[in-house]
Amino acid sequence: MSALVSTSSLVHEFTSHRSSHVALDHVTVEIEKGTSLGVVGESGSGKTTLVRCILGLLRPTGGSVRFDGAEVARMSTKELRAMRRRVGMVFQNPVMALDPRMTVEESIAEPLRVHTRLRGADLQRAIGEALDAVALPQAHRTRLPHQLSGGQCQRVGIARALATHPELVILDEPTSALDVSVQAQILNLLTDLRVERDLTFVMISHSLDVVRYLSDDVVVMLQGRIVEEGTAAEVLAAPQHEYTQNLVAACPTVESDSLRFALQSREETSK
Amino acid sequence: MTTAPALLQVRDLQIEFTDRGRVTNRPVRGVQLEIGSREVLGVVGETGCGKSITANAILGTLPEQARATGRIEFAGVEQLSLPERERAVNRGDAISIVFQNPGTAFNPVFRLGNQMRMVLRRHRGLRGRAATAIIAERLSDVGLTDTQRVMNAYPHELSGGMLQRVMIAMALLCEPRLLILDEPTTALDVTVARQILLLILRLQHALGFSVLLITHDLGVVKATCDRVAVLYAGRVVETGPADAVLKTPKHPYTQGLVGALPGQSGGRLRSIEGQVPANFLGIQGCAFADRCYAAIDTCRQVDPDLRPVSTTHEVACIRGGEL
Ligand SMILES: Nc1ncnc2c1ncn2[C@@H]1O[C@H](COP(=O)(O)OP(=O)(O)OP(=O)(O)O)[C@@H](O)[C@H]1O
Ligand SMILES: Nc1ncnc2c1ncn2[C@@H]1O[C@H](COP(=O)(O)OP(=O)(O)OP(=O)(O)O)[C@@H](O)[C@H]1O
Ligand SMILES: [Mg+2]
Ligand SMILES: [Mg+2]
Repeated sequence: MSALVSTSSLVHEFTSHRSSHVALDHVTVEIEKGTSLGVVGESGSGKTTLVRCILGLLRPTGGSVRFDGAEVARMSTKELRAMRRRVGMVFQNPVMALDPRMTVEESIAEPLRVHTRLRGADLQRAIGEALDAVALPQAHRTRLPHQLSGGQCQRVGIARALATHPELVILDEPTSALDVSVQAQILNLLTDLRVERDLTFVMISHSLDVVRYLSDDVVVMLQGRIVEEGTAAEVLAAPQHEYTQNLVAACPTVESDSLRFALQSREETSK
Repeated sequence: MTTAPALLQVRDLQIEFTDRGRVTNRPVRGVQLEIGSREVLGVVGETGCGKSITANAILGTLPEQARATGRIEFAGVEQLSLPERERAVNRGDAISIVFQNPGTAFNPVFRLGNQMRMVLRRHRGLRGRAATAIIAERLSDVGLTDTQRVMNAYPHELSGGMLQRVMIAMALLCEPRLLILDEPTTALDVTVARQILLLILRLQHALGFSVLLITHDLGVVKATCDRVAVLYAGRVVETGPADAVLKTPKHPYTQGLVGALPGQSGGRLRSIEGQVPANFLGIQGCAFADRCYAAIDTCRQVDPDLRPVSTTHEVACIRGGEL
């Protein structure tokens, strides 16, 4: 097997005239073709920065990113475009990620026009299929983002990323604005796509259940570093690092009374 | 539960969108909600069912094309008939909100510290060091310990979760009586989410405000809410104590939600068959009937109102008592 994406000692430092901040501190990951990597971690730990570096949207301060063997920082504009054709990206903030002046239909058509030869009726059919896949009614085709709810926007973002049949799909908090039933539908869809198209996934999520469900491997990030990695099953069942242990323990669920942190927190509050 | 008169009472709220005089959508179709003082009410429901827009109606920030009818009483005062000027006084003060989308809540060209200072100046007449001290305190309350960096940052310089926390800090600046949280913890890792929910509960305890919490996370509902209201296609289909509703859901829709959670076991997830109607204008009978395992002929004719199944638990389903 060969890695579709790999980073080696990746460093990214944000600098402004006032200050600088190291968002990625020697991050090394390898993502094999056809596998699914879950990225979890503290808010602000560099997860979004990592995927922006992978896509070549940010230039690393140090280290390197390779996509299918080629170094991203050395790619020409043309090579970058060719790479991005093979990648579908679902951005973290669904509302901001969509162009406010484009209807749903136009948003989904745009990458199809740029990256495929589909036109006319074929293009319309592809848009229709993309909407069906994420369970958005066809009637929403002509809506603008501000006429949609948060979860509806998020589904447009997912439809857009999957429509072009990419090899690698990067999802930054893809189901955070979805109710559990639609989330189940989307997770089932992603699982089917893995089997049908041999897709590779990178999935950032704060929901450990979602990561457990979809990921083979997981990396845990804290303050710009990877503090734990392994198979999702192992890491989430027997976390070694203290941060991961806290993460697993803090997860509220509806099932067990033992995890009722309501009562606990009521007690903590009245202390 | 609500022995004291409710702080917020929403009765028969309807919201319509119009385009050149024509009604194009009716995303809210008779919502009933009640929040007692010091109560935490959770609102859950399918995407697009009208949660955010109901929150906007309560706050008085509906988009221009939208029109609300019905009653919204806050602290005994009907809000919908108030002039905009008076509603604006409450906003960010007695009622404050944490928006679902952090991007829209901030002005991209001002530093965050300045945006927070503006709130304190407008509502409390505070400025200078006094203002900075309160801001720094609220920021560290929400776990943003590097308060200098955060105050000096522009919105795009913070991660999604950091921005969401700044928003929570900003909503708490004026110690509101009603805090509306629209998906406040979805962009946060669970440890921070837990810390923030604890903080909100702690402040709620100390300051005595009420909370309307919109969330998709049923675990969070169970953990933090006294009561919960389940929305479907612009109506409340079930409401009651959070424990009871999640443990023994009576409405087939709520049952479907609880059943769709990804558990520990893996395997294919159970989603609710079908889709929410694209438009709520033409709905006849119960909006859920087409997706419901228990629907009978009558369901397609009658749109049921909420009826009690116990002293505190209500369900809008003609078969609700038996399921
Ligand atoms: N300008 C508009 N014209 C017509 N319909 C609109 C407009 N704005 C919003 N809607 C519709 O109103 C409905 C309610 O939206 P709202 O944002 O309240 O949903 P929500 O319950 O908060 O969903 P989510 O969980 O996805 O955030 C949605 O179906 C949306 O498509
Ligand atoms: N444009 C920028 N300028 C300066 N600092 C930035 C910029 N973008 C991100 N940062 C900083 O880099 C760090 C990592 O941010 P990033 O968005 O990668 O976090 P994240 O892990 O995705 O967090 P979240 O879970 O909250 O989305 C944060 O401390 C953030 O403030
Ligand atoms: Mg992020
Ligand atoms: Mg919403």
